[in-house]
Amino acid sequence: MDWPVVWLTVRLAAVTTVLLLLVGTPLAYWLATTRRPWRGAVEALVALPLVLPPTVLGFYLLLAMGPDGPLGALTEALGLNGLVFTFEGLVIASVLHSLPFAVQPLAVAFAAVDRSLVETSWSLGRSRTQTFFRVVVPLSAVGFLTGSVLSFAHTVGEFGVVLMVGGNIPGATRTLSIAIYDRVQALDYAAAQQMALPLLVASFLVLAAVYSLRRRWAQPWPIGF
Amino acid sequence: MADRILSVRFEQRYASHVLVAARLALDFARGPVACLFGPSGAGKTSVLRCLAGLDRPSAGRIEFDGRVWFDAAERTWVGPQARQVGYLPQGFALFPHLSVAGNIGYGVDGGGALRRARVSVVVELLGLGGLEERRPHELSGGQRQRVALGRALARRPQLFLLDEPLSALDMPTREELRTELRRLLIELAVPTVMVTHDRSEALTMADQLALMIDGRVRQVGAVDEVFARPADADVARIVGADVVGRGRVVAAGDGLAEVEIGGRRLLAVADAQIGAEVQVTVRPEEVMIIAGDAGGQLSAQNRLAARVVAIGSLGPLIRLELDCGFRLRALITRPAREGLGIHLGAEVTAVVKATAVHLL
Repeated sequence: MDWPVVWLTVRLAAVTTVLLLLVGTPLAYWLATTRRPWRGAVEALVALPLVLPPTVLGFYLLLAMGPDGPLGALTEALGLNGLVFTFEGLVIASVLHSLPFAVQPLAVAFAAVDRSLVETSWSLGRSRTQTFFRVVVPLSAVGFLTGSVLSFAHTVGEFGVVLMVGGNIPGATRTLSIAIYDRVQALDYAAAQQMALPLLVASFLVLAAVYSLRRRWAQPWPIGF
Repeated sequence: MADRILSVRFEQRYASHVLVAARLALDFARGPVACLFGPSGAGKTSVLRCLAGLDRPSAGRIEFDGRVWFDAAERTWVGPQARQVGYLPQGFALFPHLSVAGNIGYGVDGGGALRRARVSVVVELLGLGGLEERRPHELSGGQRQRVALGRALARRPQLFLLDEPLSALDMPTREELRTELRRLLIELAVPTVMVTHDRSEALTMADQLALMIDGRVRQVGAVDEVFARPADADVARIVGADVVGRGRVVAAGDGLAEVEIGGRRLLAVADAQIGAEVQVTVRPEEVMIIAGDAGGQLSAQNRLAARVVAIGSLGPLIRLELDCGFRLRALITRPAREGLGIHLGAEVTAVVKATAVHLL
């Protein structure tokens, strides 16, 4: 097993998941509660990575992060290194690519929180923010669990975007899926197997755990009593 | 709470259509419990939500205890957090992830010690001792109602807003809790506006009544006043005062009126003009039944020879349909029916006081 590759993959997935929760939570709450007409357009934008070929997303990100693109120009103006073929660039790409996997479970969970609980909290003197953290978040625990696991898993499993934006640089952008592809290209099936099989087993175990947890968590909070 | 007056005058529009137009003033010195009463879809909950600050009216003004909560012209708006109301939505909306103690302490500001002290006072007051660590789904309907009241109470509200507080409960519990809730509200002495569509609930719970039909407040007053003297035929239909039929005033004076209806003459306490066409209403509870023939005419009392044309059951009571030239309904108890030997076609005397005959 190529441990630096595993470590890099886990780090990328963890950083991406944390960022996705930070960005996705307000976005999902807005989507779940707003009645603005352009809500549909925002929803479509968030869902785009679900249907877009990863190469298309990767291609446009590559252009944006390149020296002539807006992101590239921004990093240059700030005196930073470029984003293309770096870990940071990969994080940005992963956040965009996995956005629907965090936002959709969260938005579903937020929308399922009984509106009268939120309103009752307001009339008990709690601000909108306090109400969000004391009522909405605890009652959306399943959404946070699902969103985190899916974001993490989807980041671990991404391939096309990574290849376009990150390339295959050991220690910086070579993730597990790239490494497996790399070994298969070199006809080193044994090494590919060593990485692929644990990934398969780990993915299955995590998903199985999530589904059984979801069922147990759903029990003590019957809806509509 | 001598000067706790709730003054409401607002419109709720959708597009340019007026959905709810509320105009009422409640003085809680006349009693702590006011009911918003009317059929489903009359806009009672909308009014309550505007009072709680959860919906914003399109125009008008809401004022309570000298404080302006909403004024469209002055652009005044006090949000739900700042109104100090104890709002109970339908179904109570207890926080399912918190214990009974967690729910009750939810709105209490200040440190843990203060909160614990306040919670234990409320738990004691509402008889919830021993249930502090339970979750809402482990409670009975009546306990949930008390926890929801306690949660609102722990914040020391100036006004309770209860939306159908008894409708989530099972029938036997509901009737028990009606009396208990009323006793509790009087004991707490917190002015209360309570929404109900249940006539007997309004009758037993309320001191004052605001009656709503089709988004409009149609009559406001003491509960007995509204039930005994409905302002018009719609209100009369809702409060259940039976409209006996249309009659004509044949004599009037000294606050008394004589009405001709179905070939009979009825005496009513009312100011009316001779020759006026009126709707005559008599509430079934106000009709007394005597066996046999009519005796002598007493002053201010109507004695009508009647024949029983239908007998029905209404819960614990018997509902009689009488023909005495016009249709009259009466409610009697089962023992009374047996004592009077009432059967279909029986000849009886219906006695109705002049004060119980209303002209609309």
